[in-house]
Amino acid sequence: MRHLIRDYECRRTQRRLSPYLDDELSRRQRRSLERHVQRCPRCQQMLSTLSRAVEGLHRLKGRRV
Amino acid sequence: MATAITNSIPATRDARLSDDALAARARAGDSSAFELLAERHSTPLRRLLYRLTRDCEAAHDAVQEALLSAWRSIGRFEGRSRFSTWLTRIGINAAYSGMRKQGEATFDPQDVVVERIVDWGNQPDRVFQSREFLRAVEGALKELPDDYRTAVVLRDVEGYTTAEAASRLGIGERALKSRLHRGRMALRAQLGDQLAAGEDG
Repeated sequence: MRHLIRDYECRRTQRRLSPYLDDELSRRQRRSLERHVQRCPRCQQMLSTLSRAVEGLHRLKGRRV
Repeated sequence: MATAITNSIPATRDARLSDDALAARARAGDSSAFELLAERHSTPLRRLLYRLTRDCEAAHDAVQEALLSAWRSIGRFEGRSRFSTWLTRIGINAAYSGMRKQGEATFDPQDVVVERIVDWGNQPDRVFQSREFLRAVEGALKELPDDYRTAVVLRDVEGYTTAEAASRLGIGERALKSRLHRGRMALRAQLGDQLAAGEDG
C-alpha cells in the first residue's frame, strides 16, 4: 500500500514539475511538491535536471541562429 | 475630400505609427503600410521559424509565404489580436506546411548523434555553461515532435507568456501548458544522461 501511495505521489509530482518551475502552483501544491521532493531522490533528480534543461533553453535566446 | 487626401498619403517609413495604425492602413489597401509591418516583424519571425525548422532556407521561405498570405488576407484581420501574434500564427502554419512537404529531409540525424556523444565530464558548472551543452539542448529540441517543440520554443526560448504563446498557436492555455510540460520532459529525457552526469559530479 505504501508503495502505491508513493507511486501516486511521484506521478502527481512529476505532472506538476513544469508548473512548479513556472511558479504556477498554489502555495499548498508547492509545499506538497517540495515535501515530496525532499524525501524522493528520483523526483528530486527529475526536478533538478528539468530545471537545468529549462535554464539551457532560456539561454538559447541570445544565441545566434 | 479631406478623407480622400488622408487615405492617399502612403504610410511612408514613419516608425512612429503603431502596428494597429499600420494594419488599418494596410486593410484599406496601403501596401507601403504593410511593407513597414513586414520590415518590423520579419526578422523576429524568421528567427522563431528557424528555431522550429532548423533550416535557414525553410525559415526564409516560410516567412515569405507568411507575409504573402498575410497581405492577401489582411482584409480578414480584425485586430482582435496583435498583428505580430496573427502573423506569427500564419508563419508557424507555413513552416509546418513546408516541413510536411519536405518530410524528414530537414533533419540530419547525424548532427544529433555527434552532439549526443559529447562527454560532459564531472564539472557541472562548466558543463551547463558550455557551448557544448547549449548545442546539445538545441539538438534535443530539434528532435521533439512539432507541437511540443513549438510550445517550448515560444515559452522557454522566446520568452512569451503562456497567454501570448497560446494565442500565437491558436490554442487554449491549458493545451499550451500540457504541450510545454510534455516537451520539456521529453527534452530532459533526451539530455538525461548528460544532465545526470553533471548532477553526480
